[in-house]
Amino acid sequence: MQRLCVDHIVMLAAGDFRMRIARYFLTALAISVGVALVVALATVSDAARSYVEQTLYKVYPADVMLYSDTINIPQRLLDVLRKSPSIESAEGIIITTGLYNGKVVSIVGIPLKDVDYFAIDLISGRLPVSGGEAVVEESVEARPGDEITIKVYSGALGGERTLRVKVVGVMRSFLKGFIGAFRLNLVVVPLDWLQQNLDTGPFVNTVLITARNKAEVKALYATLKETFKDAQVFSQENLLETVNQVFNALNAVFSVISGAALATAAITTFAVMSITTRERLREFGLLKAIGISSRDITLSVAAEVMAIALAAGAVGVVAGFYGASFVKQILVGMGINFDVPITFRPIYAAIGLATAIVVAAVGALVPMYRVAKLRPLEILRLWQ
Amino acid sequence: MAVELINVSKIYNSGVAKTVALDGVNLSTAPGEAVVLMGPSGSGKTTLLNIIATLDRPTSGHVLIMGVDVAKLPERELERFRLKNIGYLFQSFNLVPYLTAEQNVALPLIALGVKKELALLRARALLEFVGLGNAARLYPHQMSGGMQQRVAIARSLATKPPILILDEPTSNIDLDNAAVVLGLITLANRLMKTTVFVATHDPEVARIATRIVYMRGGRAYESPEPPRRELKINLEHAASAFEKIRHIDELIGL
Ligand SMILES: Nc1ncnc2c1ncn2[C@@H]1O[C@H](COP(=O)(O)OP(=O)(O)OP(=O)(O)O)[C@@H](O)[C@H]1O
Ligand SMILES: [Mg+2]
Repeated sequence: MQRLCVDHIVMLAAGDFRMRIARYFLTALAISVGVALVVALATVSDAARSYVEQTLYKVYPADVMLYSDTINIPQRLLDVLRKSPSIESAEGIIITTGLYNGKVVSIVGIPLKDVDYFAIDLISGRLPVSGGEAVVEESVEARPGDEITIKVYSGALGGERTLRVKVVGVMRSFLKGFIGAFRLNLVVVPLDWLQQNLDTGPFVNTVLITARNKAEVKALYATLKETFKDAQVFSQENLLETVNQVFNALNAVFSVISGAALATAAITTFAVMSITTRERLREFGLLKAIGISSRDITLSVAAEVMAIALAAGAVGVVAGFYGASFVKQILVGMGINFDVPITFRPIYAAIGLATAIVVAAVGALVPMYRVAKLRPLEILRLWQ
Repeated sequence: MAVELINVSKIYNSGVAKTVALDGVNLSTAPGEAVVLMGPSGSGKTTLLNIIATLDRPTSGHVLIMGVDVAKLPERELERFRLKNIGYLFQSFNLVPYLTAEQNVALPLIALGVKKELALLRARALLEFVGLGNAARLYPHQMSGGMQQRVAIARSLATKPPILILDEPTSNIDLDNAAVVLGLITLANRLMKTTVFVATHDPEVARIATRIVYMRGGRAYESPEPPRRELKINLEHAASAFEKIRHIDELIGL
């Protein structure tokens, strides 16, 4: 193997680059647009996903919810759960359905001593302090001081019951929306009062569980699901899965878009390199007649393509990242609540540069192969 | 022997027609000879030069250049062989368009592994040798055809090749430049002991020959008459530049 000296290779690459700078600039532009799209979409997708995940974890105080159709979960179970080392907190409540003013409402009984846990976001009035007092959601359309009558059909226990409560407060949200995903028109009352009025005894039908370590949520969910076969178990993971499905679908669409841009970039590279190598045939013939090796000629072409690709990739990474931030600003400016934090990760630079190199290599492969395979005489014959 | 052709034939087979471009050519050339090939169009001059230049392979026969049987060398080794041993000058388009005169001349040397600065030093001395010392930084498109051809001579001498091959070197340039080019070829031949092969239709070129070979129908006939050698042009600058080149060669170790 003969020593590889690069000076003449660099000389050829740089010289040709200077002479055809306009068309190489176009090639670089095509590549950087593709890379910018890839990076921008990756940035936005990552940011949105992490934003949603973080929001879910932050907002919902509970990680897992155990729900039974009938009020048959003994309150003693809560003490058992609370003793488990992986469980941070466990709250038992009753959620049941009623009818008020022709409207379906959800009556929720919560233990007053833990009222803070439920994060009742009051608009007006106050929290309930004793039996018969209630805080209602805005959508129930009752005001503090109103006495309301709710008809309850509590399934297995049979019969129809009437609850009379005094509205003491109106709230915007409860449990930061965790229940809201399942129920509407909430009426929050003290748990012990509800148990008395429904004759349930020391039983609940819903348990809200918070894990000590978020990494254990999945295991906890599985254990609970295994243990309480009759009950339904919900976890944020289920929600996250839905979120992930949405993002995966989005990413598929994004991939098609950036794939099209990258294919365009590869085709542009191919076209430019094909035209250029054809134009340079005489020159290659001359170089070969002088004794410059095919390897060195091919290397000079490859060096040019790679330099163009790397420059285009770097520009694409920067443009993609700032483009994503810019688009976010525009969306926020338009009043769209897309307040995701756009953060730069080194992986974007790696993906961007790798994409640029692969695209350029794919585009330039065939023209470069042709150059490598040229015989000096074949070329010289063309111009003699 | 610098070049030895033994029973060299070249047959082009284009499918329908067979063309015998060379038909059993025998030619032995000692170092320092200047062989001028003459003959009508299509008689095989270019074909013969291409075979000596290792750009083409004969259909049959042996080609020994500097004692090496080049027919046996693979393409990769031929490239290196050409770089070191053969200077080739075409009728036109001898320069890389985006390199300056000095870069064009230095290119083969750099490719051979000589440091860039030294290669450029020798390139500039060679440009002085061909009378273009102040055109070093010009690009080919900034020069006339005659100047380009002189730069190309400098380039073909860059690696101090023992063999210089020129295919109709003067047919595309004016008479004055043609005279300079011929003078330079003679100088290279005499001062550097370069073996020269020139194909031409121009009887004027025959003046630089030590031997004249007539080609006809792919066969070579040696002219019995002793060629005249006279140089009318003044090439003093070339002779002084040659001293400089020798000095640089000691530096490079060429
Ligand atoms: N690649 C090729 N394929 C087929 N025939 C060829 C090829 N190259 C040359 N020939 C034929 O070989 C013969 C010799 O050609 P060559 O170019 O060597 O002639 P020449 O003496 O250099 O002519 P000119 O003075 O016109 O340059 C011609 O008949 C030519 O047509
Ligand atoms: Mg010819």
